[in-house]
Amino acid sequence: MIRNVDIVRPRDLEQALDMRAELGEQGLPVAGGTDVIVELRGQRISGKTLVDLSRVEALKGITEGDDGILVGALTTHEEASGSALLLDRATALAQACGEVGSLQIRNRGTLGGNVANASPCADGLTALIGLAGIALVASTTGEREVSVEDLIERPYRTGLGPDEIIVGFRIPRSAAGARSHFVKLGRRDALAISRINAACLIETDGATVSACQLAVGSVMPRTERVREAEAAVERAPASGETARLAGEAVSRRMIEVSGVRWSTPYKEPAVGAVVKRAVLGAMGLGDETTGAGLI
Amino acid sequence: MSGKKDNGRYAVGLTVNGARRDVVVQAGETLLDLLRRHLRLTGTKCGCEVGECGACTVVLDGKAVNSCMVLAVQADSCNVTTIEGLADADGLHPLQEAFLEVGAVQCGFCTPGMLMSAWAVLQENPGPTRAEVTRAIAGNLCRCTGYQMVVDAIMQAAKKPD
Repeated sequence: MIRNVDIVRPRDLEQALDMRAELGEQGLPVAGGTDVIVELRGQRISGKTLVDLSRVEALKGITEGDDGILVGALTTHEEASGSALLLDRATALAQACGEVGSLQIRNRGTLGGNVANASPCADGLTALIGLAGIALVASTTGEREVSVEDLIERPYRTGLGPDEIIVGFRIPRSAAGARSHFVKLGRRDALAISRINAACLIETDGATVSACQLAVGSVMPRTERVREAEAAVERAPASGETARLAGEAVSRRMIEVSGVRWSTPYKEPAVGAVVKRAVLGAMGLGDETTGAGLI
Repeated sequence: MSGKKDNGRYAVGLTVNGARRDVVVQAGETLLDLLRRHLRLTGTKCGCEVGECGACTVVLDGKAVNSCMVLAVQADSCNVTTIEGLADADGLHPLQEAFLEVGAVQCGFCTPGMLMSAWAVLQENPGPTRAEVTRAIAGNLCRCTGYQMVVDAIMQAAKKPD
């Protein structure tokens, strides 16, 4: 039993947006509840009126449009991890969603919630940023699009207004032959929060990398694209050595942002290895550590 | 359809183990509260209440979920199966029999949740591999058995006709 909370249950998006606008800061959207309920129980959130989005059909579904794949905000991690469309065209996102929590958590937790919660360790968030995902955000006054990377301001804080709801995400169409790959390092396989995660998308032109997007999570306050590492990979040969250089570039960026800490002697090589595996997977050269082979 | 009543109470109608149940809950009550406190179905256990242990696992519209993390009002119009729904008039469910035969039960606290995760995976995939079973029960903590007998029992039950 959670005390000091109320709930409203909109039937459709219009009603949800009206309720969100009316409640303002008093309102708190909830979908699967896997983050919100834990926070409520720990009394880190109190006195809120939950806006339960779980019945809003407009927030559901994974579809392919002219300008990319649309993933509804209510898509659960389990739905995303088993989606043939995502496995084929946004592999890193399906892989990341399959790594989240346990089956019970994946069956409830949603991608919209994963982003709105803005945990620096969120797996879905890293994949969405690595794939240059765009958040589709709505309020009673209209809709806007913002890159997922720009939506996250700091740990557990997004740029969403108090009247706004994430409707879904658009993953831009990538070039034919582009691949993406996600790698997570946790303390154990199941129910482990990421210590380090990375998502990489690579397009190649013959044996040369023509474009690279690389996002890294859990190691900096904000999950972000690491442009220095992307630059180290672009126009370089698709090889293990290039992947290693990308890992080194991310390690340097981590130390630059987060400073040298007690964990740095471990994290510096570990980050390098995780990033190397993500880049190798996206190059189609296999994920050497897990032996998962070509994705 | 859940309707708000006075004093922040909500009418919830759902199907539990095949029977229609109507319950009036508060906004902050979870599906676990609904099952244990309102319906007195105490087979579903309350463990960590933060989604780590899986002792409260039930099957909601065909999916294994932590009932401690589902708001009771969100279960309105849903179909819930709990541990009390596994056995029927003919006796224990083959999964329950297998747990007993193999010795997959020690203190027993995780067992209802473990059985519901096992039941959910067998509903979707009647012939799972050992790896698939292990993955399906990864959200259910057991501090007694070491999991091997649990997986053995689920694999044994999968071989039997339901």
